[in-house]
Amino acid sequence: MKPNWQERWSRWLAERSTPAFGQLVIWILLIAGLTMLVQSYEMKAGPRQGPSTVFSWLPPEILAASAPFFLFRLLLIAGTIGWVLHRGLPWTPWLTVSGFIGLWSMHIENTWAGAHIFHASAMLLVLHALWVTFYFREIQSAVRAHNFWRSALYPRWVFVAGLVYLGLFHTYAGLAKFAFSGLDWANGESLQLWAHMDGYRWSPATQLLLNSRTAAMLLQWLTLVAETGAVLAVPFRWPRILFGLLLVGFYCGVMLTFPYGFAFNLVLTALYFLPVEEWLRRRYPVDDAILPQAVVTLGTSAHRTPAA
Amino acid sequence: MSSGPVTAEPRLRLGEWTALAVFLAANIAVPLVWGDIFPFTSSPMFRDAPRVYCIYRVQKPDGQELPATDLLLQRIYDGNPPGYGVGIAPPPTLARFGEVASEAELTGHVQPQLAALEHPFVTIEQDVIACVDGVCRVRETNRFRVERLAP
Repeated sequence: MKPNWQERWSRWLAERSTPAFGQLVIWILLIAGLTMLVQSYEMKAGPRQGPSTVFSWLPPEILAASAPFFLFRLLLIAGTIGWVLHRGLPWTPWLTVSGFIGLWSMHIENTWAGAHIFHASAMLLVLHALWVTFYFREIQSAVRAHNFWRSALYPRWVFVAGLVYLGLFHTYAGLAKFAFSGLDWANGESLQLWAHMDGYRWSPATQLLLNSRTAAMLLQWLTLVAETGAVLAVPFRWPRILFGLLLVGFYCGVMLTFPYGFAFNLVLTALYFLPVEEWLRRRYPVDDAILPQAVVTLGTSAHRTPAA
Repeated sequence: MSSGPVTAEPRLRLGEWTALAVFLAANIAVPLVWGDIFPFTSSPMFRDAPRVYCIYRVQKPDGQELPATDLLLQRIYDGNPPGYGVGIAPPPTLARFGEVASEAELTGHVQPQLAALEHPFVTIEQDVIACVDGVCRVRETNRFRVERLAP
């Protein structure tokens, strides 16, 4: 009998590959955590408002104290060490998530100027902690047997959810521009003013923007199209690559022009939208020889599926 | 999605379905309903379309520079909507991106701040930055003298 759509989706999302891509993403997210860890955070004074983070429910005197910064740093360090060494699973990933989200939340709770440089990393960290939570027994077993890199441990749904999330993240950015400014957003002048406000004076990109409204307008239109359409491109291979290139180009342009810390957004967008996962999956295929152990571990049947 | 060597378990477990659904639903709904609640975001950066902005410099009577923050003339805006998705309300600065304050507005804003300072007056320089004929630079610099009101 032909399986229904739920069955087909369920099977497709459950297909597993080796953990190369997932592990690469985790390492990048942990590096993001380390960069957050070493930053110093200024405590701004002023009337408190909110909610602005998932920790806004804490009493104001706790939000304004330095102790939570110390605590979340400690959680982030302990979680990161454990996760890197595959120790204490699945708790160490959640310690990392708590430390990461907690530390940046404390910064946001005590500032009047936000920055959207760790939102995507935080959400992808949650997603990978979920992955480890569902698969920690298999992961630990594979690590103990020294065949982690050749085992079928990375279910497709983790990659798909990350890709959809990043699509949404960028689409919301495009929709926010439409909703707030309409098509006038891409008037060229606004980008020129931002370049004048914060652009590196030494940067040729800044000089180009300051002196050419046409160039500024073109770049704004490309940004608007790439951001707004990002989530629509997710299901299709070539549009996804095209939008990935546009978004990577956007981030490169931003980083060449402005002192904004979008490095991790750039790297993560490139990893998910460009065919990196596909390449790693082919480069590091599942080793059939270790499948029987996986079957024993899982207590279920595991089999290779024909390439689609 | 692309193809490649993979191994399949028969189907997604209920817990995985639930986690996937909650993760995606929350990232769709929370930004729409509540806006920015870290780590959720509606990605509001650079959503405005300004056509002008000002930079303010303040001088004491002896010609020395006074920090613009002392008179709430500093720029808070950094591309993100000021005060959006953050825990502390920003100071009520007059240097709002996209706006040019008039002399009357400047005087009305600065005089209450000046009351707390020792200077009888300050001189405010206002650079107006705008783009004309495709080129963006300082278009004019206005100078205003604002005197402290008698107590």
